Amino acid sequence: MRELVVFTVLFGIAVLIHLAWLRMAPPRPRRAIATLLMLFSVVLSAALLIHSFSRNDGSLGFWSLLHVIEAYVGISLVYIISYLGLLEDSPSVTMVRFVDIAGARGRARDEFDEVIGAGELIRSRMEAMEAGGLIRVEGGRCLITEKGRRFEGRFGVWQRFLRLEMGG
Amino acid sequence: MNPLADAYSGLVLLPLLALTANIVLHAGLSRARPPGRPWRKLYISFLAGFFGLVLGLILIVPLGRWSTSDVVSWILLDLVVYVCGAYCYFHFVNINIASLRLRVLRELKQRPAGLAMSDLDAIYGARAIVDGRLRRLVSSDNLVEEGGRFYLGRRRFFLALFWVFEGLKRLFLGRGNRLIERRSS
Repeated sequence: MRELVVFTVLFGIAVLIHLAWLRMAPPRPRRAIATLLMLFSVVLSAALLIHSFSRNDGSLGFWSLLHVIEAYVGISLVYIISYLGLLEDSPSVTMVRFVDIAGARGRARDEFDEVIGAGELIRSRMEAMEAGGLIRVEGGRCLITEKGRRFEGRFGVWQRFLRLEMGG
Repeated sequence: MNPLADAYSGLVLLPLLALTANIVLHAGLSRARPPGRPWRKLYISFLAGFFGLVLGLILIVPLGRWSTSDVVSWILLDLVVYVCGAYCYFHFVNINIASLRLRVLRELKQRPAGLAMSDLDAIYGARAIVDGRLRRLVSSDNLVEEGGRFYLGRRRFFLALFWVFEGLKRLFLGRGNRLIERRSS
């Protein structure tokens, strides 16, 4: 039971710190992954440090600690993925909700162009990729950088291995 | 050796084993079956891993003389580990399928002279995005197409996802889906 309590408290503390952080400073999408990884790591490290200094009968054993850590790491990654999803509006979920709003009338193909604005989705991603060093813009043309090649290559290996359809 | 500690170590490692089984099975299905229908393969492998987890719990839990509250809390932790791991894997696969960034990087990789923004818009503009997504939403039963119009399908996974994200957006960012809000205003 203590493992579940420790896990819940740790995750709760991390989320509360993040919420407080968001209230004090507006979200910065380009640094969101690094910021959240750091936050969750600091909270876990601090808890482990406190635990190592408070050896008594109530402390958790190796397997209990491992149980807490694996659950905490898992939920932290889900939290980070979900938070990144919050910062951008997914075209797929937007389109499904758009159909839901129409009810029994449904939607014609052309109506979807009203919600997914021309060029807007691709531009915001190009700006993010330029800021992340994956592409560079020279003379009005977009070029892939070495970092971008490596990034694409890493995913490309899995895409070929799992025989997935081309992204996008 | 303490048999209670051994049984508990099994409970701790069980969700990791189930997750490994999920990923290995998905990779096996992806290699062995024809390409396409990625969600079905993910769903099958998720369920297989989940059943493995449940079976493991059924085998391990009777080995230890634990209190009910301990058993319930450990099962909850195991479920958290398995479901969270499976969710992360789902996103990893989904990035390879649906990421605009990867698609654009691939286009740029094939063109050493690069591409102008207007070219990218033409190659991969909103219309292409919408068409690709509609195809996938119809093939996954989230939408159905009848007489040239689209309606909600049997599966409501993406609609449920919309509401989960809508609630979270309001909590964390103080706003909802901007694409829908812009159209409503």
